[in-house]
Formats: sequence, C-alpha cells, structure tokens
Amino acid sequence: MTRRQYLSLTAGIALAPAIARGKHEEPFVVIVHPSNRFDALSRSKLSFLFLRKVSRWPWGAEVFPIDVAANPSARLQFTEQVLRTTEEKLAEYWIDQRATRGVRPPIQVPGAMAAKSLVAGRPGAIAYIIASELDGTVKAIRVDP
Amino acid sequence: MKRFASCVFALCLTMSVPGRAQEAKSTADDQTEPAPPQDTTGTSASEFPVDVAGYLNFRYLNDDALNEHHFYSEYSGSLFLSKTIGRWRFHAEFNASNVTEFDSEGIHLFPRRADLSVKLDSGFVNYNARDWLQFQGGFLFVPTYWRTHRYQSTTLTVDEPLIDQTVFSTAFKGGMVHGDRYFGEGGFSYFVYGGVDQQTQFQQNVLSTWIERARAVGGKLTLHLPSRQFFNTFDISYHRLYRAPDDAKPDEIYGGELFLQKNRVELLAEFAHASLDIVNGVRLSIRQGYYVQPSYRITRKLFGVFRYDRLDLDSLYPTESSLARQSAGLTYRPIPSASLKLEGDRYEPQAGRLPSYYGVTTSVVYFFHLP
Repeated sequence: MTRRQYLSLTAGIALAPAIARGKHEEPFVVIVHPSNRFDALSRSKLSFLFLRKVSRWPWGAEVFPIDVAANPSARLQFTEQVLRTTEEKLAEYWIDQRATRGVRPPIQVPGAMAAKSLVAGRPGAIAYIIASELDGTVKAIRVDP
Repeated sequence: MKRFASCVFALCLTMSVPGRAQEAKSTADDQTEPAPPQDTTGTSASEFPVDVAGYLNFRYLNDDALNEHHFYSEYSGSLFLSKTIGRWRFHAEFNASNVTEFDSEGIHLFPRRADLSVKLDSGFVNYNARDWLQFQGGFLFVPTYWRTHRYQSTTLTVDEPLIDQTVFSTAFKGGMVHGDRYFGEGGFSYFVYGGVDQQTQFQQNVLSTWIERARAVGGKLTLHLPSRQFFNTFDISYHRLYRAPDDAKPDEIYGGELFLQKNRVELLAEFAHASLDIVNGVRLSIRQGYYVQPSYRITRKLFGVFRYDRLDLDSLYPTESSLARQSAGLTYRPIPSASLKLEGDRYEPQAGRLPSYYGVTTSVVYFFHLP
C-alpha cells in the first residue's frame, strides 16, 4: 500500500465521525520518525503509546509521545477517537500517573512545525498533526480501527 | 529508618546532576539529531532537573458516635519527586500532616510532634528492562488498588475504605519484580514482591495497637480483560501475601479487586481476607472486609459516589470488632487539579448491636506540579 493510500485511510478514520456530526474537521495523521519500522498501528496500541503504558518500541527506542496544543480540533479528535476518553478524564489520568508511577504526560509543543521537528529528530517520537501539514521530514502511519 | 529515608531523598536529588550530564552527552553523540524546538507551553520539564508534583489537602470529618460529637480537621500535603534517566526511574513520596494520631505508616524524617509529622511514605528506584520485566527496590507500598491510587486528588471519596491498611499490610522495605503486557485490547499486570513489612495490629480486649513487622512475600496478578469495547476498563485482580513475624505465627492474606469503567459509570470493589497467627495449620483468628463503590459522572465536573464497606476486624470478637459504613457523596472538580468533596456517612458499629450513627466529611484538594 502506498503512502498516499495510508493517508487516505487515516484521513477517512478521522473524518468519518466529523461527517456524521455534520461538521467539517480537518483530519489528523499520526507521524513518526522516518526510521520507524511500523507502517500501521492499531488504535489500542497507539493509545497505549500515548498513555505511556508502553515505554519502548520493539527495537528498543524509547517511546516519546508528543501532544500538539495548537489545534484543539485535532487534539479533541485524537483524544476521542484514539484514546477513547475525554479531555477531563485524560487530565485526571495524568494526575493519577504522576502520583502513582511518577510518569509525566507527553510533552506538549505549540504547533505542527515543532512537532515535526521533534519527531524528525528523535527515533522514538510519535505525534499527530493535521493531514494538510504533513511533509517529507516525517513518516505518516496508518491507524487501524 | 531515618538514615534510609535520608538516603532515598538524597538519591532522588543528586541523580538530577548526572542525569543532565548524561542527556547532554547522548545528544552530542548523535550528530544527526537537531536541537529540539523551544517548548512554550510550560508542560515540558526538560530544563527542570527533577519532576516535582504533589497536592495540598484539607479535610474535615465529624460523627455522632455514641451520642458524642467527634470531629477532626486535617491539613496535609504530599510531595512527589521523580527523575527518569534512561531505563532508571527514581521516585519518592513525602507526606506532611498536622493530625498525627491518625498517622498512616511511613518513615518519619524527624521525631513526630503533637501537631506535625513529616514522613517518607514511599521511595524507590525502578529499572525497566522491558515493560513486562521491571525491577524495583526501596520502601514500597503493598500494591492493593486503594493503596496504589489512594491520593486525595484522584479518589472520589474523602475517607479511605475500612479495609485499607487493615487487612493487607501497608508498605514494606524490599524488592519487587513487576510488569505489564498488552495484547490487542487487553493485557495483564503482575507484581511479585518480598521484604519486611509493617502493619498496625489491634488487641481488641484492651483496645491497644502496635506496629508488627514481618518478613513478607506476595504477588498480585491483574487481568485487563478485553470486552469488545463494551467497557472502557475491565480489570480483575487476585492478590496473595504471606507474612512471617518473629513470633513464628504466620499470616496468610488473599484478596480480589474489580474495576469497571463504562462511559460515565465506574465500579470499584475490593475484598480481603486474612488468616492470622497460624500454628500447625490452624489459624487463631480471621480478619476480613470488603467495599463496593459505584460512581457516576453526573456532568463533566461533578461526580456522585456511593460506597458500602464493611470490616470484621477479629473473629475472636465477632460482634465487637465489626463495623459497616455507607457513604454517599459528591465530588466537584472545577478544574482537573482541584477537588471539592462532600459526603455523608452512616455507621453500623458492632454488627448492629449498637445504634447507628451518622457523620459528614468534606475536603478540598489541589494538585500541583512543577514546572
């Protein structure tokens, strides 16, 4: 499957609920370092990575999830569709994790440029951005339901 | 004890210095790695040597037991210091409280005063070989659900369940192997631990307490069950602990836990049973208890919670040592880091032999983190 097809699938997953709600929301794509061996991840695996339940990729690189603050729409879509939770519950989850495991939430960057730069520079990084902001510095991966 | 606490505290603080050096080295070694972008959100702790978090709590409890009005108010604070360096993680939890007579167990940092105690409640170093194979050593909590998630900033109730710290021991000095493994939607977590624990023991006929220490070995398995996405969380756990005090009368404790989440509804339940002072395979007494705690998220910021809990402290005194309680409360979280709680309690002492009495509890909690 080509990269374009992956993008179309990911965009489809992200767009479907928005279309159902009758709103236009720009779809998000999940991006990783170009050396990342995965072309696709299941939704649950992706959720484990962002919730820091899984700390390393199979080849040993430390998982470094990145949260993008600039686009509330993409953030909301990602939280609802991938993490299957709400922003309030997510904030409560991180309070619990900080206290019980000493684990902090993903680093938050101001926008897609910063996210792409960070992902391109860290082999274990993973983030999500709006599909239209994707470029060749990072690799997009498909999200399987 | 104090030396142990000081060592853990010093370790947490001093690790920040080599941590910075190591991070700088790994960046310098990797010529292809560009400088990370400036973080403007304030959530990154990359410039701060240690992750600092904690909460401040005020709570007020009162009841009318035996027609006498009892109350107490407590100001307390918890501080969590964490530092991760590669696969190593250092974590310490300190608690301060002005109500020392109801002090939980821990290592006092300086002699307890009438109106202040400051303790190390937990301090450990964790090595992550794999997510499913991690090693932990230090002063650790016995991993019951409530002990692990007991923080006032995350609990929905003000007061702890009656079985908390009563059936399973609270904490131990020793080591633990633990891990998590996820397959598809489900997975499992396990803990295998051993060391020297400490537990408050009660002598019913003279109403006295003392701290008993014992060599302890335990294990806990939690299954994160897939439910075809019917539940958001469906966890069940089984926990066993064997304690061998110096009096050669060991205790065997087992327990089960259930945690369900579906959208706005949560159900949390724990059961624990202890066979105490076993001699030649015969136990002297039983201690057991349970609680069931359903809750409902009424709005995004408001929760309703109910709990029924019961504790039978000593089977040698089956009526005198029994207590049941029903609690119903509301928790309001205007922001995720702040909680305002109010609950009413109904107590049934001595298995209904004495008249029921009522109480009201309330608390205000604020969670903070730096930077």
